Order: sequence, then C-alpha cells, then structure tokens
Amino acid sequence: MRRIKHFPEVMEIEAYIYTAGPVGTKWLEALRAGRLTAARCPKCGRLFMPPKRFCPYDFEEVKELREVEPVGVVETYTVVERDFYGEPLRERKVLAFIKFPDVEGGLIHYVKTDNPQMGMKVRPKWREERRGLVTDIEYFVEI
Amino acid sequence: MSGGRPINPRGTRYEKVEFPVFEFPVVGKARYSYTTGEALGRFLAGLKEGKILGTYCAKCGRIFVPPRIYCSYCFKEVDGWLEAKDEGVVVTAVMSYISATRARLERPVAVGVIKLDAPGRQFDDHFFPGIMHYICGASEDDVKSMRIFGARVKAKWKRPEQRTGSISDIECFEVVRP
Amino acid sequence: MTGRNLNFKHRVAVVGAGLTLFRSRLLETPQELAWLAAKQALDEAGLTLKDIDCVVIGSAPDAFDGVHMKGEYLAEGAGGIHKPTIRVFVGGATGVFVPIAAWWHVASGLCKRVLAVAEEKMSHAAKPHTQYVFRYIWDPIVEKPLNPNLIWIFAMEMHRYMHKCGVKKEDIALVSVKNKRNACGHPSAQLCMPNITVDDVLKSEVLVWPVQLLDISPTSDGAAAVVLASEEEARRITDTPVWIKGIGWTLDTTHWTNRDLAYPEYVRRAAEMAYRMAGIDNPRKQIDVAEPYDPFDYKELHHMEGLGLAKKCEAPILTREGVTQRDGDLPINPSGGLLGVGNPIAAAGLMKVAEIFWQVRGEAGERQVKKPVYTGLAQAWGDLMQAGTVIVMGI
Repeated sequence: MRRIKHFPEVMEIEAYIYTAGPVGTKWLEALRAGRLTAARCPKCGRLFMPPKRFCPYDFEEVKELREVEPVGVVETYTVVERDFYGEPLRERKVLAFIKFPDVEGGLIHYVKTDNPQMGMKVRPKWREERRGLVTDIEYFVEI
Repeated sequence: MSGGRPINPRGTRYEKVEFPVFEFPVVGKARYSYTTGEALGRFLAGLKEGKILGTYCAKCGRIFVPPRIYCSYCFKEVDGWLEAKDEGVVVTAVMSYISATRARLERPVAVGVIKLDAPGRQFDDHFFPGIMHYICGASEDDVKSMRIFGARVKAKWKRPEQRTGSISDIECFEVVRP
Repeated sequence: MTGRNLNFKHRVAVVGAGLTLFRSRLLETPQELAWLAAKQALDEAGLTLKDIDCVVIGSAPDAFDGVHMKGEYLAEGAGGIHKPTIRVFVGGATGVFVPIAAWWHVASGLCKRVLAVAEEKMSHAAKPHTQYVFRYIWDPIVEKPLNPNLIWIFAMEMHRYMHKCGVKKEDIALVSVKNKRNACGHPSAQLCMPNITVDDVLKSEVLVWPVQLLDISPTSDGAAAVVLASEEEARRITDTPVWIKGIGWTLDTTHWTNRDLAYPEYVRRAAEMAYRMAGIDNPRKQIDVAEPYDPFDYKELHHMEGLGLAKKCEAPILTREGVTQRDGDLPINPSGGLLGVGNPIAAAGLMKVAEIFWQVRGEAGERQVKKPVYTGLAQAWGDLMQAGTVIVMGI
C-alpha cells in the first residue's frame, strides 16, 4: 500500500508582547534617562541587576532602585564571528558578561574592543536617542 | 472571622502597552514536517484515492478511524486494514460564526463529528470510527433545532486531480436528502 | 466509618493558600506573579521561604508565556532555587494536579513542607489573539487542515450533551448566571457581574452555536499557591489543617471523535480513584461543597455528572431547583468558578483548591456556603477533552 510520508505545517503565533513588570518598567525608564540602576532588597541590602521585584533569598518585596556607578568589569566574554544564520559577520563582535561592584548579576552586552581581556574595566556608551531598552546602551568601551 | 480570603490579592492591571515596547514578531515561522507514521501515511494515501481506510482489532472488535497500528485498549498490534464507507451518521454538529483567528465569518459553516458506516458492523455511542469534518447542506435552523443529529451524510470528494492526500480531499459531508 | 484501602506513611494537610488578582492583562512578569501568590500562601501559614523544603510548579503551555521550560522559569518566584523543584503539566487539569504531585512529596516522607505554585500569563501571546495558541491542540494531520477554532470542540460536546439529555440553553445559562454572580464575593475576580440574567447570556454574541460569548470564561493572567505539610508539621503550623483525603487522575485518548461526548468518562475514573481513597461511596451526600471545572457553563453540569454528584442528565435539574447555589444543599462553585473569577489555565484549578481550603476553614467571607462544610472537592480538566484530576479535602 502506498504511504504519504510527511505532512507540512507552520506554527503560527504572530507576535508576543512581554511586559517588564512594575520594577522592570522603572528600571527601563531609568535607562532611557541615561542612568544605570539596580534594585535593592530592604532586608538583606543586596543589589540586583537586572532588577527583581522580590529577593530570591528572603522572599521580601523589592521596590527601591539605586543608581549604580557606570563602571563595570568584564567577568567573561566570547567573540562572535557568525550571525544567526551561520554567515560570517563583517565585523567580529565581543559579547561580554559585565559585573558591577557590589551588585548581584550584571549585564550581557557588547564591548567595543580589539583586545578583550578578563577583568577589563568598561563604561557604557549611551545612544543619543533612547527608548527604554537595554540597547539604549550601544556598547561598552574600555576605560 | 476577619474578611474572607484571599485578603487583598495583588496584581497591576494594564490596558495597552505604551512603554516599554516589547513586541516580538515571530520572525521566520517554524515550518514543521510531521512524519505521518505507518497508519496515517496509508490513511492519507487512501484519501487521495477517494477511500477512507481504517484498522481493526480482532480481539476487542474495535475499528479505528483515524487508523492506528496498535489497539490502545488491548495494547497489541492491530490485525488488519479495512475500508470504511464514505458515508455515515451525524453524531453532533455545530454552526460556527467565527474563523480560526476569531474573526467573524461572512457566512457561517456547519461542523460536526460523523460516525462512519463500516461494512457488516454496528457501533454504539461508546466507541466508533468517527471523524470531524464540515457538514454541507445543513441550514442554521437544521443545526439549532437539532434536526441534524442522526442525519445521514455522504462525503463530497474533490476531483481526483485536485486531491493531495489530506483530510481536505473531502470537501465536506453532504446531507443526504431522500 | 471511613475505610481507606491504602496505607500511607504520612497524612498530608493544606495549611495555607494565596492568590493574585486574575485579570486579562497584568503587568507583572511571570515570576513576579508566582511570587505574589507564593508569598501570600506562606504568610497565611506563618512560614518563611526557609521553612519550605520542596517546590512543585504548575504551568500550562509554554506557548502562552512565550518562554521555554516555563515552569522552571518561575522557579525563582516560586521559591524553587536550590531546592528539589519540579514542574507538572496536564493542560487545564494542571491546577489540581499541582497539589496532587505535592501530596506525593509529603506522603512518601521525602518532604515535610511543600510549596505548590501555579501560574499563567496568557496575555503575552498577543497577536493575532491569545486563543490562537490553542491551535496547537489539534491533530496536525487529520484536524488542522480544516482550519478549526478551538471553540468548535466545546460546541460539539455541548450540543451532544444537550441532545442526549434534552437540556435547553436556558438551563445551561443558569450556571453562567450563578457563577458570574458568585464571583462578586471573590476579591480576585475578573468578571463579577452582579446583575447578569439568563437573557443576557442568550443575547450575547453567538460564536459557534450553541456556544455564546457569556457561556465562556475569559483568558486571564494570574497565579495561585498552596502550602502542604505532613501531619506533624501541620499541627505545629495551624489549629485547622485541611486534610487531603483523596486524590485521583486519569487520561483518556486524544481521539475524541471516537467516543461519546455526552459523558466525561475520564472524570468519573479520576473521581472513583479519589473517592476510594477517601472512603466515599455516596458523593452526593458525603461531599458538602464542590468546585468542578467550569471553563464553559455546560462543563459544570457535565462534570457534576462525571463526579457522581448528580445522576446522568440530572445536573441541569439540580441547578434549576437552586440546589447548587451557595445556600443550597450541594453548593457548586461558590467561588464563582472560571466563569466569574477568571481562567489563567493552570492557576484556575489551584484557585478552586484554595477555595475549598477556605470553605472548610470558614474563611471564605461573603462566599461562605450556608451549610457546615466538612468535606469538599475540587476538580480540573485539561487538554483535548482528556485529562481529569480530582482532589478531596476536609476535616
């Protein structure tokens, strides 16, 4: 007996709309104003970036955002050579995990440098036009 | 007893997302190529030839349409294939005024479950060979009055050159008017 | 008295519950929703996160929140970091399956105090419409090419039930009226409609006849949580632990076009399992209050019969006679159910469990049923008309 072996189909959600939550929204507003902030737990005093609404250690509510000095340290990095589809990039990009002193967590972002190093000190280069997204920082540069 | 639980449930409602904008369009829809397996592969090939095929289990007497290669009740392989008739009786039917995306349809369509005839067999309501499909030749009133329940219907096939090996090779099940 | 066939190491009790608001769009991220509910449940039990040793998370299709492994994604908000944590998923039945899985943790002796959290954020799957996610539920080969809308299945089941039992839409609409009115006593409710009438339901937009707009529960964002503890712990935590007397769960085939739609066999089997464990042989008399799953109004009737709370085709009669009202002999869905409170898929079932918990303790405020409550039941149902989960609780 004959068989039809495959059946093609397409998965269809058109677009997702994610929300940042109340504290996340304030954090993004601070970014739009050109300020880097972290959320602070009132009980243990820990600072979280990206911000959290609750402290995962104490389970207490976190409402406060404190400004953080824009001096980060490269904790680890990787060099990206290819794009999403596997084609070579015109320019190599350095993607790093950047930590800030006394802050738990950090940011994943691009660092513009030809010579990336673990422990390199970096600062953000802000865009002229900001919209309230993590990409309001165009990239980090070595100090 | 203080006020009823839950006390002061929390959550921040919002109407539209003005800021920040986090709309992520799904770029490049994921295309799937499902393997049809043993049973549905033959089922689809049968549809292309204008036949509705099924499998049967000799032990419990069940007939499976859509077909499977195992009897999930006896948990053994089925004993063979057979051809079900392309006509049967309406078990349940509804009238849809909305499309798959919840938009209003220009004209409503009737849809239902059809219990298919199988040669030499009778089925009760407990387990039977049945498929979901469009029902044509039924008016809104036929459905609302439930006259459509138990009505005899026959498959309206597409022309052989239009068939691709899919459930839509059948356009709809047409109500048989005496 | 009650004979239990099965021996467990530890009796398990529910000692706290928490809920967020249920709304069509909530700003909080999924973890934040889970945290709000979990924190409230812990506070009610007088516990902190350090007291919890295991966590069970329930969340329905990843496609709603738009994140892979959506249950584990919630772990931080559900207190599940650095702890034995699992996620369970059986479609809409998840909400009642979460405490069932949590029960295993405690009854086996493995954990003493378990936090069980269920969350859903349906508003993320925004375009074209949240309902579109349900397209994944169909068989891709023999059903999806017909371009179906999910409501077709419910309409077909509803029409078959109406045909078999001779029930009119007016009788079914009474359920929607009861639940949307009951919901006005629920602080989390999304759709409290104090003046809704049968006429309103019958005049609402016809989607897929016989299903109309006011026959259906809304899509929602929300979270719920409960805390379970072993007997020893429960007695230390509270004077009124609510014991889990029976649990049951069953799965049926996805080939829903091959079976009778007028009666939910899978609910009957899950209920039988739970009743056997709880030593119940006459549920109509021995269950004081029940929260069967009601994403559609006819489903409440359908499930009542599957649970043995009404004979086949008898549920609409009981509803018409007012037996299922809060002051009736068998109050059904005093919370307002999914129709009134909202339907964030996984959290909805757990909301029902929380309701039974509060009803047994007399803490349901305006919603408290008139008769004294010793034993209650919550039931959920999921996926392609298949999964049934039941939990019996009481003192």
